[in-house]
Amino acid sequence: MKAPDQLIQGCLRQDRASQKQLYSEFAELMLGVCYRYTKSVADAEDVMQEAFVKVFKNLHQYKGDGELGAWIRRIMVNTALNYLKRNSKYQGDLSFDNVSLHPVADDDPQMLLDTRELVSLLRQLPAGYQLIFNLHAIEGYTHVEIGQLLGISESTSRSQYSRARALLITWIKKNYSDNKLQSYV
Amino acid sequence: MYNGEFEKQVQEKMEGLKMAPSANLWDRIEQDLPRKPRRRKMVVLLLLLLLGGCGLIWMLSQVLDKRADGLSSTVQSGNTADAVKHNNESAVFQPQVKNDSTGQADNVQENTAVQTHRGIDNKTSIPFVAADKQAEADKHKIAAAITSGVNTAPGNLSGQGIQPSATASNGIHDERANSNTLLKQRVSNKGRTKISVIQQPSVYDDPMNITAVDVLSPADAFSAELLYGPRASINKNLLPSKNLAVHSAEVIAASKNANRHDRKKWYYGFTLSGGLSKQVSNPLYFSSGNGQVAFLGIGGPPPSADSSGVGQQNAKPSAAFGAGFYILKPVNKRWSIQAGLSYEYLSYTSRVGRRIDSAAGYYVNGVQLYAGNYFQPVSFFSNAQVVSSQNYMNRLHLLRLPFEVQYSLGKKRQWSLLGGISAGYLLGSNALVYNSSPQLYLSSPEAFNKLLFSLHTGISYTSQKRYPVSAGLRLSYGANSFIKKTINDQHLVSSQLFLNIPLKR
Repeated sequence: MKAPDQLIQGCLRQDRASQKQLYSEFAELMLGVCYRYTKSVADAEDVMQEAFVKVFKNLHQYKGDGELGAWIRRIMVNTALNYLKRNSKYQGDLSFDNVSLHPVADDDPQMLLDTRELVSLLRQLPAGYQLIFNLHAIEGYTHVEIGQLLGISESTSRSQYSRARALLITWIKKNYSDNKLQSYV
Repeated sequence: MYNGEFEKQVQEKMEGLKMAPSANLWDRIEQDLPRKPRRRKMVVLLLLLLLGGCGLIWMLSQVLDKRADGLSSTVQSGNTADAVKHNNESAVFQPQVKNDSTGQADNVQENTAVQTHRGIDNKTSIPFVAADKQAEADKHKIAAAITSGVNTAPGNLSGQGIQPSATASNGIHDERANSNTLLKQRVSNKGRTKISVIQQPSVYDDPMNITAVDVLSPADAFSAELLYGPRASINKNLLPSKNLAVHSAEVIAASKNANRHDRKKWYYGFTLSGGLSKQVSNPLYFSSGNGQVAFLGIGGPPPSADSSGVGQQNAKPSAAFGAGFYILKPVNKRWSIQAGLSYEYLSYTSRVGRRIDSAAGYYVNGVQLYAGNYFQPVSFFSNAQVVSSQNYMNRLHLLRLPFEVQYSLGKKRQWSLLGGISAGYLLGSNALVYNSSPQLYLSSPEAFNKLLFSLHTGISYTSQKRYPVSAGLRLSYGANSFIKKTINDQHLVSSQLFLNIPLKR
């Protein structure tokens, strides 16, 4: 196992063994990131493939001023965004126009769902909601940043997020009660 | 408002989300990754090709030299044998050449080694010198013998195997070859030496098939002897009579009429070129629909055909230039071969739509094309999009290894036709490729063939012999598509003026 610096140097020399080791270290985590933005594992893998190619081609731009994992994750997210934009399968759901504000559920549900269930619910959101929820709630982007990334206004991002959040909470509550009900049956 | 507890919990849960990718995902990524830089290998390959080209030229020149030596030896051995033969017949020199204009023949001194021989028309005898067989075997001594003709002092001939008296007192030297080949006559006239080559009737019907060569230097003499052989041109009008007053005829200057490049020399120097280049689809486009093959036009598919070609319809020529090194070897008076190594820049402009600064990519038959930005196509139907269209300069940088053959035209040999092939390595390019499926232009290194071959032809003009600068026009056509055939055939064409500057005079 090579040290991170050696690994990066190897990747910069286009050394296949180093590149594969870097890939192996981050592949599972990054596929999880890609999976959250897409509707299928195949799409998630397409995104990750494209993103890893970018990682290796642009690794010289990584200055070591932050965690390598965070840098790679950012590339995954950006690649996923581009993928959604240019893929006709997602374009219908990515319309952010004519959005009205909806009441927000301010009571946070108790998170009894495991990660798999939560991801499953998240991926059932319309693509636009899913995207903005991912960016804001999980990646930590502000609404201003999301607006710039997606070419929408800050308020649109905010309202979309509110709707996504409300919908998700509703589903979680329902899912939780169903599960509890099932456990009592 | 929400307090963020929900987001925090979601974040915590999502942090642990891990999924095992497919087993072949790494293989797919690996296919898309750029390979290790192969520049060193390419440089070695190009050097080997260059070396091979030079070797080929050298081998060709050796073969031709041997042929020339063979001719020279034939002439010499025939000369000697002939001399011996005629020595038996008549050992007394009889200068019977009539020479009204110069009277040089009358001044020739008799010598025991000087033989007489029957003239071409069997009526007139002309003198010749029987040279020593051993000494004359070497072709270089032919030149030396000719040199001695320039120097009228007998002392200069010693050791050359030439009978000193043959050239004494500005004498006439004639070397009669095998009676079926040719006769060479050297005339020394006030320090100016002339060579005449006379074809025998048995070879050519015309007994006066004569080419006279004005020899200005030993090197010229030797070149003239080799270059002007049985195929020498004729200038009968310059001969005053058929009565073999050959040495009195005005002569054709060898140095002016021979190949502009001395056949014994290698020429090398810099080459520069400049002009225009363009990308074209297949030059002839045929459709084989409905069981019939129909010619549809020149320049690739029409706009209404395969949309993968639409994006390249509006390409326009742009600047092209090159610089490099060349090496040239004349192989005979007409033909020369040239090789070299040069850098070449080719470009063309195409009309594209709006630039989108966002990553894009697509697969074409398993090849992934990817770029950090892309261009929309120009819509031919929407005025709104035409407004946002722009010119894009497609640039290509190549390393070329050309090999060409040149053929000299005309009597003065100043003009040459040339043709050849070159192997090129694409160093880099920003050229856009268009695909109709996502309807976008993008530039991706994966889209190009790295090894490019081209055919070229042209015409050149070569200046004076001693410093043969050449200039001309070269037309080049890319033999293989510079874009991988999975997308669309696209060939590079260029038209460039060039200048070859030798390094040494």
